[in-house]
Formats: sequence, structure tokens, C-alpha cells
Amino acid sequence: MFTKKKRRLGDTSRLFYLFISPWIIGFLVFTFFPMMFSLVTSFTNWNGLSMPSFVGFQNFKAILTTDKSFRTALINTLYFVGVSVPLNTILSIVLAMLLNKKLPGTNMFRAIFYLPTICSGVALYIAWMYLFNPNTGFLNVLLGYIGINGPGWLTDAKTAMPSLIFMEMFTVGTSMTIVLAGLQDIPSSYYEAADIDGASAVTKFFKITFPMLSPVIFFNILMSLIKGLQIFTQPFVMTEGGPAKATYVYGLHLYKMAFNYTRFGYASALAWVLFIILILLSLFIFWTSKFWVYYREDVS
Amino acid sequence: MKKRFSLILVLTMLITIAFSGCAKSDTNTPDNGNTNGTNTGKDNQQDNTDDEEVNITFGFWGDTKEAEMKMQLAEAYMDENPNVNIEFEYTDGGGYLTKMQTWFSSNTVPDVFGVASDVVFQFLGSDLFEDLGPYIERDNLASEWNMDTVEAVYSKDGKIQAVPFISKVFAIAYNKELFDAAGLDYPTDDWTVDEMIEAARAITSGEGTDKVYGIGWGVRPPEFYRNLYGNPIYDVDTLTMNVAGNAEFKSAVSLFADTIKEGLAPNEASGAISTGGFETGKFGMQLAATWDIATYQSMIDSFEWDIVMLPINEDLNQRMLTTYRGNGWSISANSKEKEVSWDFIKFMSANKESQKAAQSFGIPELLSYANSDEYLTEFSGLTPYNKQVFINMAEAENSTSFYNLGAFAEVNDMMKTQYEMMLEDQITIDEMIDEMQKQGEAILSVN
Repeated sequence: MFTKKKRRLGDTSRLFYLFISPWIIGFLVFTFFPMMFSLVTSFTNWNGLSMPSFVGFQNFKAILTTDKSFRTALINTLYFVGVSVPLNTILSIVLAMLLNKKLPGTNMFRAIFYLPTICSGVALYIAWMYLFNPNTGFLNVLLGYIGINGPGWLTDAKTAMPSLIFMEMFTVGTSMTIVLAGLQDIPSSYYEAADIDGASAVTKFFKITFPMLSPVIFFNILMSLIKGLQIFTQPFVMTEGGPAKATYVYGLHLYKMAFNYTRFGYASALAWVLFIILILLSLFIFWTSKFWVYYREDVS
Repeated sequence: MKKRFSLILVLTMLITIAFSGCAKSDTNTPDNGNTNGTNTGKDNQQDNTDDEEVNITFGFWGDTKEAEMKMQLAEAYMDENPNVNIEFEYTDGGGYLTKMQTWFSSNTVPDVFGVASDVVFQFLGSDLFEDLGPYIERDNLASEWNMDTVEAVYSKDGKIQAVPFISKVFAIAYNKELFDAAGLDYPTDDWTVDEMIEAARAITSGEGTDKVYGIGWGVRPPEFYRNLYGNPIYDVDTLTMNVAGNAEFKSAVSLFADTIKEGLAPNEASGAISTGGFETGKFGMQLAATWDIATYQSMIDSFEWDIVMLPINEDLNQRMLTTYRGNGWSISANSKEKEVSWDFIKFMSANKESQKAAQSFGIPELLSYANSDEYLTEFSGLTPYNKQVFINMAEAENSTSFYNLGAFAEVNDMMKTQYEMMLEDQITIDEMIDEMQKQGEAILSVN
């Protein structure tokens, strides 16, 4: 009897390893191995063709001490993240709350607001380049109708990064959908009880809606932060990091170092520095979560 | 049992990783046993009968129209050689360099692949390319192409690593309607920079979305100011900077910056509004490349246009130089189908009909066709333009090579940033020059 039970357990574990093996092999081959390869490369001087030569921590030292472009790229990236993450988080909550109302056409608006998320990519960014064109673009033509001489958008160092942040606001569809799901998960009895107690709409938002949504908002912030720190395609396609490096972000610096300047060792070191920054910022967000994120099981 | 299974699983993974690692390191070993560089064409000659199925891969780039042209050439070759199947590996122009580097480092280089002169210089001399010299000699093709160009652009240590397909240069395209409206004569090849600026001033009109610009430089100023008047800003052989005290460079930068600041030309250096230019009819003149012609011919039907050589700077007694970009074809040293690959390259670069198909994108490299009246006068129903202009601009005294990879790309990007800061009035032109010299020296010193 005991032997049979043991064999059954053995069979289950075999199945477990069998089913999980495609993922493990995929992870090891396509993620873990490239990461380790990149880690080793980061300690070398390698142009992608010749044999790499070991240089110790020289690449990391240069990044942190002499690389002015690293500083510019990091500041620009943090600027993008610092503005777009809070802005998009608030926007996603506002939109989700509006779309949570039971009104005619709500589903249509949900689809409309989610649509840019589906379309995102190079094609969308090229379309935005047309919209941002200071001479013939839709935005300035529109502003021209009401007598406003529109800005240079991507052609002006002062407005280039805000333009990218503005464009990013149109891709809040995913965050909005997650918040919407979170809103629909809040029991209506909480609001009914608050109504009986005479709570105002603002009080209900801060005492019920926000605390109940906080795990969802926390998730959105974390994901947006990771996505924001890795921003690359928009400036790569739309501005090449200009004008005057106003949109020169970390991902672009890394790419240029590797593929344009053929400094693959240095680029690998940059990738690891970004990885460490990402980990530290994520840990910081996790640490702050204990002050403002509420889980139902904590309350119970 | 569980332990044994885990052990097998881990071993399998390690073997998989080890093999993928081996494939990578193979390519990167300089002396990986590749002796193709010394092979003659005859050594590699394979017995490809009509019945034998041959597959080759073909890597190329281009915008939609250029890519279509290249695919049509491949299809025409397959029609002529039914036993040959060509598999396309297309990448857009922006991603081709990355793609090429990936091919090189992963040992997956296509049998036939396109190369551009502004980036291929970094890879010449490596064992990635088949030496095409013996093939050219065997087939007596040396007279078909300008071998001086081949020597200068595609060769290293006596090995020819690509044969030319088309060359790409710039000229000034002008809108005849806007010239007429401004009461200006059409420019001629002996015109001056001052005349060009005066024309731009006369044509510029309007505000905001209605604005008509006298001239459009596009994204090209950073590419052109390097050596606009024959005194380059860095020496590619000695890796030394030559910005400080370079009067020609200062004059070149001033030309671009002054016309932009005066409102005669838009600032498009960072590519932000490079979507829509001369073809919109809102530019009197445009710094136009050979590859722009196909777009002009297909999109412009509301006004007449033509092209003229870049103007002469009378103060410096020097015509503005165009950057020269050569496009050629190479064969992978590891190709198993070198003879078919060579035959396909000959079909594209040494065949009149193929060169005819490519003429809207660059100057054909097949001399017997490029020098013929047929080339100069035949437009296949498309808008005619003065083809001789591009041929003249491609002459050695009117053109300069462009290097944009490795340390040169880093210097180019640094200079572009400084130039844009000067355009934004964050720094003066003299501060820009000082900074370019200093930072350029720092970049070149570590390479």
C-alpha cells in the first residue's frame, strides 16, 4: 500500500518536471544564458567581432565617472518616468472611474480608450510624427484654427520630452482596464454603508475606493516604472534622442554604444547598471507599499 | 528517481547552452579555419546543373520601393534559373546595421548580402567576406565597374569584399513653380552659395502651417558639415580632430545654422519632421539624394521640378561636396553556394536590365550602361530629370566618403548634439567648435 502511494507521488513529480521543462529550458537558453553572457561581456572590451579582452571593472568605472551621456540619458529617463508614471496612473484611475458608470455607450468608450494600446508600435509612432509635424501636423493645424501658433513639438528641445510623455498618455488602456476590474471588485455594500453615514463623494473615494484599489494601483505603478525605465522605441523612431539630447534616454544610449559605436562590452555594463537601478527602484516601491497598499486579508 | 530525472534535465539544458555557446564563439574566432579568402572562384565552382535544386539566402535593406526593386531582381533571376530558390532576409534601412552585426556574431550571414560604404569599412579585412577578386578576374569583369571605387570603398589588403551595385549622392532639387512665382531664373550648375541663399530668401513666405520654405536640408546637415568644403573635421587614418581653426567647417555650419535661424529652412536635424518634404510643394529647394527621385517621380504631379549640382562657395573657391554612399553586394565566406551567389550578384550588378531597374535609387555602377545615352534619356514614362547632375556630383572632386560606425559614429553623434545645442542658442558657434574639438579628441584617443 505504502509502495503504491510512493510510486504515485513519483509519477506526479515526473509529470511536474516534464510540464515545466519547456519553460525552464526556454528560460535558461533565452534569458539566463544571455544574461550571464552579458555579465561576462560587461567586464570586457569587445567590438562584436574580435576576441573580447578582459578589462575588469573599467567599463563600470567609466560609466559612473566619465560618461556624460550616461548622466544625460539617466536624467532624461528618470524625467520621463517621474512625470509619465504618476500622470498615467492618475489618468487610468479617472478614466476607469468614468467608464465604470452604467451609462449608454460605456462599452464603446472602453474599446476606444483601449484601442491605442493594441496599435502601439513603430507604425503608431510614425503616425504621431505626422501629428506632431509643426508645419503640416494635425495638432498645429488644429491649434491654428483657434489662433494659436503651435509649438515645435519634437523639433524643440524644450517640448520634445513633454511631447513623448503626452503621446504616452494615449497608451493607458492596459492600466485603465486593470483599474476597471479592480473597481468592479469593490463590494457595493461598502458604498451603501458610507451613504447611510452621509459620506461625501471625496470621502468615499479616499476611504473606500483608493484603499480597495491600492493593490491594483501598486501593480500598475510597478509595471509602468519598469516599462518607463526601458523606454527606447519612441525616441529611437521619432527623435533619435534629439534635439540636443533632450530625448536621449538610457535605452538609446545602450543601443548606440552596442550597435553604432560597436562597444558591446561597455553596452553590456550599461545594461547591468540599468538592471541594478531597476531592482533598487522596485525594492523602494515595494518598501513604500506597506504605508499605502491595503489587502483585504490584512484587514480581516 | 526524482534525482536522476533532475540530473538528466539539468544535463540536457547544459548541453543545449553549451552548443548555443559553441555556435557563437565559432564566428568570433579570427582564425577559425576559414581559408576562403585564398580560394579562387574556380576552386569553389560547383556543378550546378539545371536539375539540381539550389537554395541561397539574400540579405538586403531599403524602403518599400527599393526593397520591391531588389525582390523583383531576385525573382527575375529565379525565373531565369528555375533550379535556384532565393530566400529573402529583408530589414528596413534603420535596422540593417543591427541585423548585419547579428548575422556576423551568430554566424548566420546570408549567402548574398548588401553592404553600404558608410558602415562596411569597419568589417573589411575580416574573414567574414568571400574575396571576390578571383571571380572578377576569372569572368573578365574588371572593365564593367570603376575599379578605383571598388579598391577605395570595398577592398582591404588586396581582397575585394564587395562589388558595386549603385552609388548614392546628393544634389539640389528645385520646384520650378516656386522659382517662377518668385521671379527667379532656374539655377544652373555654376551657381553660387550666395545665389542659393538669395533664392531661398525670395521663395520663403507665409507662417505656421501655410509656410513655404526656401530650402530644406532634411536630416543631412550633420552629415554634410563634416567636409562640405574640402577640409574634413577628422582624419580617418590618423584619428585626429580638425575642428578648431577649420574655416571651411565654420562656414559650412554657419550656412546651415543661419538659414535655419533666419527661417529659410526648417530644423529637421533630429528627423522629427522628415515625414513630408519637397514632394509636398512647400519647399523651393531641397538637398535631395538619388534615392529620393523615385518618391518625387511617383508623388509629385502638381508642379514641375528638376535637380541641379550643389552650388559653389565663391569665398572658398570650392563647390559644396556631396557625401558619397556606395551600395554593393558581398558573398558570405561560409556560403555553401558561392558560384550561384556570384552568378546572382553578376545578374544584379553586371546586367543592363537589372541596373536599369535600380536607376531610380542610385547611379548605376555598370559603366557601359551608366555612360550610355540610353541611361541619360530613358525614363520609362516617369518624370524626366537631369541625370547628368548626379553623375557629375559622384565625381571624386565633388564627393566625399562618409563613415558612420564605431568611433566615427560616436564623434558624429557628439557633434550633432553640439550643433543642435548651438541651434537652440544654448551655446555660441565658437563654444560649439571648442567643445567638438575637445570631446572629439577624447573619443578618438580611446579608440
